[in-house]
Amino acid sequence: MTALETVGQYLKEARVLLQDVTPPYRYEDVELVDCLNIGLLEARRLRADLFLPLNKGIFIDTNGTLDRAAKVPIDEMYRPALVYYIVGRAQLRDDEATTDQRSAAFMTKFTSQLLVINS
Amino acid sequence: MSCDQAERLLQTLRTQIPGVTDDMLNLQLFNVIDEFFRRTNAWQHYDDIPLQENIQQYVIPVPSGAVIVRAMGASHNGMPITFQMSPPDLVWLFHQPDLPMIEHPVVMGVSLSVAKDCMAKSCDCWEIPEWCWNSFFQAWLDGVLARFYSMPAKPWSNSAQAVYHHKRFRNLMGGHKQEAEKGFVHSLPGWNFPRVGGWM
Repeated sequence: MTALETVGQYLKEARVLLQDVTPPYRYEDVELVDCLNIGLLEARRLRADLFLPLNKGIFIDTNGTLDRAAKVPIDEMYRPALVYYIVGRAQLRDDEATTDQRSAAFMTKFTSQLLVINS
Repeated sequence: MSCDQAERLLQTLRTQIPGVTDDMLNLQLFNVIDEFFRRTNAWQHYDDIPLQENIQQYVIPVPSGAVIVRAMGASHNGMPITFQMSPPDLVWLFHQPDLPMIEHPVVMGVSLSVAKDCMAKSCDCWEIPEWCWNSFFQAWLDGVLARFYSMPAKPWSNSAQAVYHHKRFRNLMGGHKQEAEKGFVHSLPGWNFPRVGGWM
């Protein structure tokens, strides 16, 4: 199976970095998928070329039952960057278990992976 | 198109433009090839158009996967004829064909470029003749690199490299345009005795 292809794989990897792998979770699945969708928006702003052709939808539907098998429409080279965004975005929430510096580091990592080769 | 030939070009580009996606590569390669053919007239096609009495308007046959850029000339029974083209593929003869004239077809020469349908279909084969991939490999490589390096805010942005490869692309395109005008023959004499037109 390809790494980081489906929503479920993104959630699993993000939970490892968030240290939130045991239920009950601190971060609900839907909350993390919202972060994923916002990450796709950010990636679309920074690197429109990753979403060619540009007339197709890029969001993961969070209405109703979450489809964990849904594929995330981004090139495999940039999948780790999206995980960093999910983790950074989730940790922006005021939470005693996280720090702003860690969140900022993940967000910066996301941006630099999209825009810089040696990142 | 020979996909093997295209793959050689794509493999070269992937290693020189780290972080680029295949969709983006295909789009820019298509744009470069389209610009190249439209400026150089290097892809030419000649076809017979059978004439009908008193009919002045004809449709030019176009190979699959190609579009006509411009007409290169037309002749009838070995003699140049006057005509006008109405894009994309209609030709208007200035003289109405009469009975003796329709015994011979008009030989129509056009320059071609790649059809945009191929991009819409995301097909791998643009039906470009294989010799083009060999002959124009370097020009297309430089053209694509110039476009990528000149993009703003991308991992591969590099203005110095963009200028370098753009110059090479322009120079190579100019050379290929001259070659195409001379029928890809080296050192053609510049002038012939004017049986018809004079200058070659």
